[in-house]
Amino acid sequence: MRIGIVTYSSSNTANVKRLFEKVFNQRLIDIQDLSIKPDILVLPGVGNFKFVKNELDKKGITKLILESNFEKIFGICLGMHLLQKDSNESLKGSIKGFNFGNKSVISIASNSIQKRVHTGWNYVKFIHQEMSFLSGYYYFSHSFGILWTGEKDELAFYEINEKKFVAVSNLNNKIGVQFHPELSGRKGRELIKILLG
Amino acid sequence: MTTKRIIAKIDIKGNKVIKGKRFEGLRVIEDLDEFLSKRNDDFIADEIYINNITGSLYDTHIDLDLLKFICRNIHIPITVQGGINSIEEIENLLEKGACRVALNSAILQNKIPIETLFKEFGSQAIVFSPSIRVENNGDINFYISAGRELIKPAHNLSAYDYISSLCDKGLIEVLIRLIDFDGVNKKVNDITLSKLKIMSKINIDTIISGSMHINYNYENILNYGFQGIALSQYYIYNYKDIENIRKEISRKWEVRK
Repeated sequence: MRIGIVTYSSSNTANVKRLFEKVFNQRLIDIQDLSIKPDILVLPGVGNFKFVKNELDKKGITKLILESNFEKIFGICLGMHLLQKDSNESLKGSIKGFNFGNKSVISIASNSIQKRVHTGWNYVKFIHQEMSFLSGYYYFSHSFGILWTGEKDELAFYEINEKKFVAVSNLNNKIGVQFHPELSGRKGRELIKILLG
Repeated sequence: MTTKRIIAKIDIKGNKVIKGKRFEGLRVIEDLDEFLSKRNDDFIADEIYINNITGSLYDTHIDLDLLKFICRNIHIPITVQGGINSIEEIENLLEKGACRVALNSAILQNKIPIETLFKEFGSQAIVFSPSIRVENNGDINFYISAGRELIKPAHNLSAYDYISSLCDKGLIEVLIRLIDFDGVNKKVNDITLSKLKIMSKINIDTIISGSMHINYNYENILNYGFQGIALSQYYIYNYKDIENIRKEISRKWEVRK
């Protein structure tokens, strides 16, 4: 199993690389290295949806992601958002994502809290019995999220002021996590082993 | 909602962990890597905060190779501070494994405009970390250069108004270091607590540091609604007992388990 990673200018991918290299004992392949096709693609996530999507479009990475049949894609935070239909993280209306999922990414501030950013450890609840051992505290840092609707692809949720948001989703092996496994200690390591192992 | 945060604060000079009292009389404890290797357990702290405490005073900087080296085994958020004064330095620190940078003099002296910081790195990567002293007359003063030099914020704003103004510009986190309670193991006095209580009204995540291992101190701080505490002296000498503090806090508030 070979793992690749998408890097882009605004994202700090060092921590993500470090975690995956440690857990899976291999060096990650940069997606732009076209000589090797990874089985699993990691889309890390810090930054602005529109800015990053434009950069991926310009570099031809969007096309590569849409056309390559990766066994799994694992999106973290913004990476999870990019897998979805669209995001309103722009003043000029919605921006299209990769459209693997059918969800819209919205500002968490408008939906539940006055604070613009949700930072810190929060409890993630996996709803299916067979994955319940993964429930626990994970580290979040984001301003945009996906409302929980209870659809089949939604595997785990977290709450902000009793409002539920999607923490983990998986639709046809396009897996998204809202929190940062690379900053979630043991729990994060356990999670990526299970979801990608 | 997110849990209350218990942060391990490590003061360093070069590659050594150090500790003083009220930012002075700094004693060398041990090598940072050795120090961390003894505590390499997720459940002791929620985050690590490394402070090159005399960075601004002597214009020293965090060794990037050292940061990269220690980050290899740390998979929880790391914030770094001390002597940081350029965009390039912040880029390098984030690239080597820091998740956030905390700034004091760089923000108070406007070495890098805060708008530029947010534009370049996003608000989640920047923490304002002032060292303060509540004077006997109730004034809250900011200090730079390891607590030695008093500085007035732009337009002579009060601490409350200054932090509120940063919040309006996009700041999401403040780590307040109480100089007079650093490393001294004593209860925070009434006047300081009363001023902190007022500061807690600002809608921003705030962490307090300075003798915060004492039950009386953290109970008051968390009751005001602050998000967490940073422990340094206790993390050096009593780190195994941090779990007891976590247990105590969990009686009233949600903490990571």
